[in-house]
Amino acid sequence: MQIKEIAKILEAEIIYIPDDFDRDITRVAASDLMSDVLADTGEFKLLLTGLNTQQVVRTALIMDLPGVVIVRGKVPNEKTVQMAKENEIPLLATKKTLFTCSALLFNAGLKGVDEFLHTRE
Amino acid sequence: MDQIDDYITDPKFAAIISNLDAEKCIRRTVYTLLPENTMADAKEMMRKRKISGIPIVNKNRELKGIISIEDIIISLEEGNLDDPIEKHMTTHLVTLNNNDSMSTILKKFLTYSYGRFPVVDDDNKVVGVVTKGDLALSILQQFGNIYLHYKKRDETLTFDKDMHTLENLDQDQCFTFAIENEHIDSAGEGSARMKKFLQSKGFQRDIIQKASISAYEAEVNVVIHGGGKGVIKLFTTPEIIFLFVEDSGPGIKDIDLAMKEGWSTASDEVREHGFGAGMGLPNMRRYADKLVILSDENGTKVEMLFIIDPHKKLPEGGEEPEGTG
Repeated sequence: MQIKEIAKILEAEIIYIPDDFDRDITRVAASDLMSDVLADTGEFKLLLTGLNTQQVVRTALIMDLPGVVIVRGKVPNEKTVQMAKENEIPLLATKKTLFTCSALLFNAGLKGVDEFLHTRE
Repeated sequence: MDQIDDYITDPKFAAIISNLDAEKCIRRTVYTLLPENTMADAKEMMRKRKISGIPIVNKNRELKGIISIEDIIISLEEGNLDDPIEKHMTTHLVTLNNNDSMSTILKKFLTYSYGRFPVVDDDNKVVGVVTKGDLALSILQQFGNIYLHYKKRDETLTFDKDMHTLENLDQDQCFTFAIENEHIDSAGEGSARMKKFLQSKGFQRDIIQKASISAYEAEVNVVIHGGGKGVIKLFTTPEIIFLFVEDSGPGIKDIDLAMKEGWSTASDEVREHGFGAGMGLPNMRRYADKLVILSDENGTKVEMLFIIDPHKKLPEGGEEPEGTG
């Protein structure tokens, strides 16, 4: 699924999408814990989060994520937007809650990353 | 005789000699003859096998005597090559035991003027032979190995030290970033740069991710717990990525607890940035092939080793996923 289609489903404001961005998005992670997001590398996933700090974009950058959606009506600060632009990471913002966003994208056929969660003992 | 003892008992030499493997100088393929064989048989065997001595054994392979090339020469001179061997063989026998150490073997060679010794087991059965030539060759080879070993060890030790200072290494394969960040908001810049460095070197995507995520968690830890001042050092070879993150903070009080998922001492502010959930060290352990944490009141050092899978091939055009970078 393309990021613009996701923006439509979530009725999200497009804060930034790089020109000609056409990465296919098939999986989603919804979390406010960046370390949880960092705990699996199985598949590139769209990040839904209630955080609006630079660290969400940094996490996306480190993990090559295809985008970040900030939920619950939060507005990303200037530095966060700037970092997204510098690193060509799509950034959306929606008024919908994390649960509703997750449900909408799940119903649209996107998957989670459950099978990639692994622990090392 | 005293001189020989001096050499062999000198602790300097004794230590070296005791490291040599006696087994390596023993020739296990032994050509033997029976006492009733003739001197002519012995001469033929020496000529064919290019050997200069033959242990003489009975049907049970028990050692009865030895014939050397000197005995053959005498036989030729006296014209008695048709005599049975037992008439001319040396029966005053000095042997080596199968379990003798290298120093015992050396001592025998230095004490007696024989060029070879049969090796017998506890039942006096012949199980091998050692010649002066075998002995010299085996010692030379083993010294060669020891030298090589020491040299290799020396290189490894030096390399290990260099990996922490990044001195004496190919600077093209090194990355350093000084962390100076007291606020969690901007933590992670070093890791982002490190990731770009690894991408520029053409590493596989998954190893770049593993190393970058681990560096990110370590960098965040430096900011959250380590007083905000630290350093990220990275060294790569085609086989490994070595990542070293150090801070001068107060140290981790209980590393076992810190390794537990969900355990954290982070502040609410840190948590508001998505960290401090007690996943930092567990994530590093998840991704690093080797993780070493050294922590005391002067700071924390985290060493991580990532091993590159040589069987994974880079797809054409590199690993950079579209839309990033």
